[in-house]
Amino acid sequence: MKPGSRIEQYFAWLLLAPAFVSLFVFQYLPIGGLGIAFREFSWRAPFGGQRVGLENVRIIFGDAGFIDAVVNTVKYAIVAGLTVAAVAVTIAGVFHLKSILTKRPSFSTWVMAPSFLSWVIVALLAIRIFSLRGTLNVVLVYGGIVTDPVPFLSNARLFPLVFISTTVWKHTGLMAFIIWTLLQQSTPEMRESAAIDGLGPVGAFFRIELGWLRPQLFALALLFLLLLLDAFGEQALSIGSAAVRNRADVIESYVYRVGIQRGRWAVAAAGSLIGTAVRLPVAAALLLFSRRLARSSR
Amino acid sequence: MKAPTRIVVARVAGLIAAGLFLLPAAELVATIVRSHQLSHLLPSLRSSQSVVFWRGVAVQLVITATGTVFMTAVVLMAAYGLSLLHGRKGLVARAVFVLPMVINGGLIPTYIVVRTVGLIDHPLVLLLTERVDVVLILVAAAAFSRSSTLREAAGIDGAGPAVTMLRIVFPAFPHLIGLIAALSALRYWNSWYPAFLFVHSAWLRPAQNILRSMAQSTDSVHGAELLRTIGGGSHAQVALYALLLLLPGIVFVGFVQSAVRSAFETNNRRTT
Repeated sequence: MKPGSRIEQYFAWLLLAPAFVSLFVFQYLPIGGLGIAFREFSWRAPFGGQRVGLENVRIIFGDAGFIDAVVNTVKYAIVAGLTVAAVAVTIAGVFHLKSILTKRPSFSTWVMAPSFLSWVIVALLAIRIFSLRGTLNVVLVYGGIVTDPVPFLSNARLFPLVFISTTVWKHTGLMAFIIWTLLQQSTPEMRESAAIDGLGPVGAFFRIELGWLRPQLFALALLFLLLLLDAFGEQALSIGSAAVRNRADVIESYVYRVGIQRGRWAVAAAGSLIGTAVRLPVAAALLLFSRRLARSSR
Repeated sequence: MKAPTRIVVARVAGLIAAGLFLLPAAELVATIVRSHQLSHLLPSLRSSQSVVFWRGVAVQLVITATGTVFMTAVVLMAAYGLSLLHGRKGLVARAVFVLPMVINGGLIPTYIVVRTVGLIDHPLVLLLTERVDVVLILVAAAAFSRSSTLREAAGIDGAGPAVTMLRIVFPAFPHLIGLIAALSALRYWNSWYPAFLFVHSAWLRPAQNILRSMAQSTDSVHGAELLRTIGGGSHAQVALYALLLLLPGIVFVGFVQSAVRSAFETNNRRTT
């Protein structure tokens, strides 16, 4: 059988069918279901209720809790995204320099480990570390930095610190590993020419190798940002509490409480619609950049 | 700075980086050790009171085993199928995969679809609602598309498309397949969100969700009830259960790392 023959093409579509069915039911149908935001909702005809225009969008924007959730989502995405990227580049750089100096690839498994733990475990660890009797407070009190334990988990002003540090702890390792594997493709000639120009290993890393990887790093950062936005719901529902709701809620956790807990399906669907809109600029940037990247690599 | 000093500095920096990531997990071990109840804790794992947790572990194991097979098969088939399509057809198929990464319906429309198709409280919901890993499909498809010479040779020998895929192409990528299986297994072992959203029956609740309820027992009536069923549920006991659920992840990390590294080395050998 020739590659590219008709049988092979049919076979290809046959192989793609299970993934397409799964995508259609659990991804594409819900996209179509966003139309609920503009209708009255009833379980008898979930997608065919009477049209109400922008009424549900107006209701949801009238709730201060939702505005908080949107602001938190955007704020956490920007701060956590930038912090994850910066820490990941630094860690990848450390292990890259170590690989160069010891002349063998070296990356610690432990750095990657948090990326492979569930949010349940990460939240449990975060609560143990940041609680009033947690490790951090023990260190702060015994170190004489504070006199009384700091309520990281119940103080609305301090909670973003918990949220962002858990995001960074969970996601940085994997991103650092991916950057490190990309750095392994840099050639010794690159570093040699940098050395001729008077740059040491650290200077060559920041000025030459990172510059060489800039397009891939940018695409990777955007992809991670989408993953972060996807994971924020799980995170907020794991570590947030009623005491810090205005700082802990992101769009998905808000939508969960309004929709699944209180049964206001159409209003919550309007929230999901806004959540999709928040992702769009990041996703559009990723698509445009990936196209440019693909063209330049041809 | 001299080279040996640099090596020491880089090693120390690497250790610090690894330590920072390891420290929070060490907190769990410290809690268990600090509790001075180790002699009571270990036998409590076998007691009839911890049956709820072990039932959760059994559910999690079943989800992980079936989910791994299911997800690995779907990803491999889709990736190989994608690698066979070129030109406009390939572009369309790729777009079908990439689009849900860009736009998704979000929680509420997904919940309504799951409820409408009758999957609420159904065991299959734990398998099917895990998102198909598009990034893995695209990476694997890129790897498989380099096997055109293998496929051509198999075609000349008279092998059909299924035989070529199963006997010729897949065995040429053991690390990639191992990586996909390991990542799928990890994903199902760590899965708690679908059960949180779509499952109400106690017998279908995975261990991750039971642990979550235990950890948040002060916040929820259900969690407090669960703690009483389990028999007290001290901080040390929760830490021990968490450690048990965390260990497979740690073991898998080593495997994932070596699989990725081997894949890179194989790739480098092929390109040179």
